Amino acid sequence: MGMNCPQCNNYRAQLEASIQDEICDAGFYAGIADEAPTDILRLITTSITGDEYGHARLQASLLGVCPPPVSCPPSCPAATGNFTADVRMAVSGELSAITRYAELAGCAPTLQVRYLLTSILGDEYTHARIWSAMLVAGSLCSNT
Amino acid sequence: MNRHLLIPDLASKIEIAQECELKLAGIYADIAKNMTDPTLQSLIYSLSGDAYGHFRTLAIIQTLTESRDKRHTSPTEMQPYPTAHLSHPSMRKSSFRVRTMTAGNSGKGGESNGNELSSMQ
Repeated sequence: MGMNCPQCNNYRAQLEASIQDEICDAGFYAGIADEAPTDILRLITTSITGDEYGHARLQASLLGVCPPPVSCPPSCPAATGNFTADVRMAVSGELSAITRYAELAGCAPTLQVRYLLTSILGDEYTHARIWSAMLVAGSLCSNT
Repeated sequence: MNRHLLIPDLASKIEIAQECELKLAGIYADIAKNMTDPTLQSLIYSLSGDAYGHFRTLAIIQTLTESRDKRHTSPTEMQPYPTAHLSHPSMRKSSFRVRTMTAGNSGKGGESNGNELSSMQ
């Protein structure tokens, strides 16, 4: 598949970086859950946190037999205390993740790996929609 | 929908379309990320979801044609609905063999160590 293309160099290191990002996101989302204005939003945010943890585990499993050298974690943003601002940042992060997983899936060495990674892409897309729904949720209250 | 019944290079065209859809999903998300208007952003990234849906549909078509091809070439090879067989031990998690890096081809499947990622950088 695409593994001989220049953009697919250091594929395992790219997966490792992706795991680090997922761990980072899980921490950030846990912070958002803590500042959620309602219990329902907190529960939904917590479930998204769990999804990100699952993504990290799936990719760690892919690298389980031949892990690359351990990398340094990226600089993870912390929740700011402003729920709306943090949810906007989460949407942005999910969109970046979609782009990243599209690239990783394109470079996947087998169809099985490709489909595992695109399943994560689908999760990130769903997350983006959920975050967006949270942002517009307030508008329903004033109109009904 | 057998691949043999289709135009010969249709399978490769489906693969190309799959790759395009995957790239499009990423490109739409990248465009959406830079949109300041939330409505436009939602519209653009919904295109990303559409592209992902197209990718999945093509993947299903690809898988179906491949599995049908296998059934046509070797009817005994594919058993989509395996039934319990008393002479076989039940498949349990503990029955999977642990494969080590030095084990070479000793793992399940024989021909490959099944770890395509290990051949990558």
